[in-house]
Amino acid sequence: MCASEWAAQRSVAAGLRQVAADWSRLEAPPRLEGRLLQAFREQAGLSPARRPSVHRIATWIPVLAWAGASAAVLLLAASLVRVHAPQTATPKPSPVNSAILADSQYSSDAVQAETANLESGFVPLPNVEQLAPNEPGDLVTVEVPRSAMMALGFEVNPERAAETVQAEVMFGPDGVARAVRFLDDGTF
Amino acid sequence: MTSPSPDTDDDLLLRMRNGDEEAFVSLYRRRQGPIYRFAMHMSGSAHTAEDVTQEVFLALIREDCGYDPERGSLSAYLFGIARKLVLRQLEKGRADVPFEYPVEDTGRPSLAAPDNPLVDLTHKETIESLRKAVLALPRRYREVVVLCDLEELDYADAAVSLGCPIGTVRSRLHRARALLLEKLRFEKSPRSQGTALGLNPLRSFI
Repeated sequence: MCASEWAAQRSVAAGLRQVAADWSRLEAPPRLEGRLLQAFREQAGLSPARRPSVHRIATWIPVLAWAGASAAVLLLAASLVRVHAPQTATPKPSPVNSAILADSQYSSDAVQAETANLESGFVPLPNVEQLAPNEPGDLVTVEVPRSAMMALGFEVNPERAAETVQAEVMFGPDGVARAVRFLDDGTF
Repeated sequence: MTSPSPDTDDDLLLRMRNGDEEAFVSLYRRRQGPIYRFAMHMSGSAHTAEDVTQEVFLALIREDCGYDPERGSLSAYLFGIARKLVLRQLEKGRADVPFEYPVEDTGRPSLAAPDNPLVDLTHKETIESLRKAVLALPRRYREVVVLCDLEELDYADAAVSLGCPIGTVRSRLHRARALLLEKLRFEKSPRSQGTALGLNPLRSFI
């Protein structure tokens, strides 16, 4: 290789180093990390595949609503513990209504209608005011111990009392839980 | 007191195999940039680059990813997957689109020379010309330039990624640089008296 060609090759290599430096901070979009992390969790068995509805809902409910829900669940648990007398009615939870799950915003009319007749499976929580007509509410899916269902008059298999069950909790605009519906196959 | 040495790629991969999410994130953050840039330089498409990067790491997540440390580094293995995916896209004709320069996303370092914007403009134009020239190279030359010159992979790893002997990497790289020089000379010659006088169009880099 002659000297001039060698110098030319060096100049190209130097130019390419400039291009490399110019592009060195280019990275994949941040959203990709989230997608891959989710895939990793599923592959590693860290993400419970048996709860897809929770993930679907989570994508639609604002973060602030979840933060409020966390606090409200504690209130819900406390209110359930305070109840000593079982309810006279023993409601039979209905299957999950996918149409309802798809919409986290609930109208108060729907809430009252469902709490009035127990076909929907919503049980009004004791010691809290129910939602007034046209009062908006939020629906959040949570997991609660099956033992907590006993406080609302449900019959619970003692052997499964330590297990958790999915429940939909209706929150009023003030963040207070008003009603709950347990989501299961009916065998508590 | 010396700081602990960072985990190797293989260490992180081993931890990742045991379900260590933090190890996966560390490995991803360490290797995603080069893979994304490789796919970007090869395809000229940010969309393709994102797809390829995703598929590369999805392949790594799978238990039967086929990585063998005896055959080469994890980096070389990842580039090898990325290369195959890019070639598949190129064969489909989906990736040969006008080059998209992701200005907003890159945090691209400024090359501004405040005292002489004209010089800066010339410098930027030269870099842009060189980058376009890389993109216009035949695929087998483009990939070796991107791996060795732009992503600074050593020849051995590049050979693993490309599935060819090291000697082939060297010869292709030499030929690729010659082609780049020809392209740049051709591009400059109608406008530049300097080139007509035999001056090097890339003199500003050396």
